[in-house]
Amino acid sequence: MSPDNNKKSEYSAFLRKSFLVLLPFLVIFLAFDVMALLAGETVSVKRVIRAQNPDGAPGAGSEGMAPVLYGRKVVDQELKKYKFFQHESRNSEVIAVGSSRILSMRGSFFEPYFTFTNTGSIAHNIGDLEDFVSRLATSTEKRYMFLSPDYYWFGKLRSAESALSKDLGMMDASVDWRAHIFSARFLFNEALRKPANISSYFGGQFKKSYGFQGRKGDGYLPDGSYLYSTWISEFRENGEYKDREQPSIIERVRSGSGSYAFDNDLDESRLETLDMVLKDLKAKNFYVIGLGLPFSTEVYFELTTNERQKGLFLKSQKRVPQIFAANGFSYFDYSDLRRLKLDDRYMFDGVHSSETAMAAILLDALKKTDRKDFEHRDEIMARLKKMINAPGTVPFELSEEAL
Amino acid sequence: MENKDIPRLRDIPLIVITFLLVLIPWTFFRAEDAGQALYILKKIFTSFSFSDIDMFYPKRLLIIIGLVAFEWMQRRHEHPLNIGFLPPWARYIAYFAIIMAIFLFGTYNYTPFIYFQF
Repeated sequence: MSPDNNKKSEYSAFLRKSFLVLLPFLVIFLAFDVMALLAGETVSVKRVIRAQNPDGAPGAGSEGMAPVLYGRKVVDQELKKYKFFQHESRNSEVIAVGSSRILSMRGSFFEPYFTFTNTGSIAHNIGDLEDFVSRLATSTEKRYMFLSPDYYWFGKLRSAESALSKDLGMMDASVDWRAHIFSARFLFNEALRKPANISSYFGGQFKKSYGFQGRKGDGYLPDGSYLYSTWISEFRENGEYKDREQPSIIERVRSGSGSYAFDNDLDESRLETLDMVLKDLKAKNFYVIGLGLPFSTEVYFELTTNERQKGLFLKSQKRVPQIFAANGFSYFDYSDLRRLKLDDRYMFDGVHSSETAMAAILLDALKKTDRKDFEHRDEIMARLKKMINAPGTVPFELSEEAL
Repeated sequence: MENKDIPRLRDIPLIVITFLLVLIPWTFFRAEDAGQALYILKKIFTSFSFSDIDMFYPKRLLIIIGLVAFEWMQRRHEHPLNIGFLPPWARYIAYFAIIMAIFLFGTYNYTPFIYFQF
């Protein structure tokens, strides 16, 4: 045998052995990777949107069937990208814009009068909002926006840089090889802990949903609003309020961490940006209703009394409505739950309110809005009243029949 | 110490001191800048608390002990994975265990080591 042939056979023997060593791992990995794909965890955002809006038809699931949710657990949810493409695909007459705090506003509130998309979570600072609004097309028909800027967007310490453009320019997270490793690893660990857990991702009410969280009933509905199934089941068990975020919102406010950094001053440039955004929306034929969304009573108390928090909160409560008014729009402040005669049972944590609270907020805001400014105002109000007063409606969820 | 499988009692302080002498310069490698490294070192000597360290979970501790024991047993070889003396089936099990460990515990984010900054 020539030295060349010798080398060749050594090389192929090495490859054969390497393959044999890797084979058991590859079999395990591929099996769990395929399962993750079947559970929708590694399905691209665009494919999810197509599945949620078949034939581009807006709606919250087919008649009598559980809605298709989007809720990745291990892989990056790419929320800004998802929300933006969802908005483009649905092209609705009414949109809700803000952070995750507005996610309980449902399309069913406006049916059958308007189509609706909740883009909540697309904006986490004033830069995100400006970027999103600059991408909206001018409409010949009047459109409506419920806009809920969070008070800390106007503080000096909060970044004003948009993450939307960056997110839109990135490849889908499901394409990244790490997404496949992480999701297969998650399922493998689940199988080690409790094999029965695996079957819960492939059966049950939400078996058509996308992502491990979505399969458990926690995720984004086709209208973009969020379904909090896990928290709602907890509420059903004891009906008691608990700040469910980790760490809790009240802890974050008290310690000045994250979004709630101690910051007593407004940044005028951010208020100017809000003013420009509202002017842009007006030029694009949007009628905007500003909403100050509720906090739990303890968080509200802390924000209004804590010497290191109240400066920014109270100043923004005063200035933001003035900017809306200067542009011919209304802003309604529901930061204090008690204004609507609600209590903490209408909150999932210190900052996220339930759909029942959101229906009450919308009802009150529409009541205070001129009939000529909001088409079908009376019909939508009647629908909301019916939902709120339906026999099955409780603080943390509206009656299913009413929805 | 070199030829013993189990270190003698009097070798243990020497091992600990060597380990610590390596760890102190590593603080400078891992920190953002010299100021942060000095701050970390100062904190270690002024307000160190075991409760701030989350490695004392039984599982993690077992893994650390296992890895250190394996390193010790293999210290005379060029690298710890020099296991050619084991029968093929045992080597395959070892390789499979390593691949699974990378799969289960690996972090895959790109964090360049400080040498790449020079």
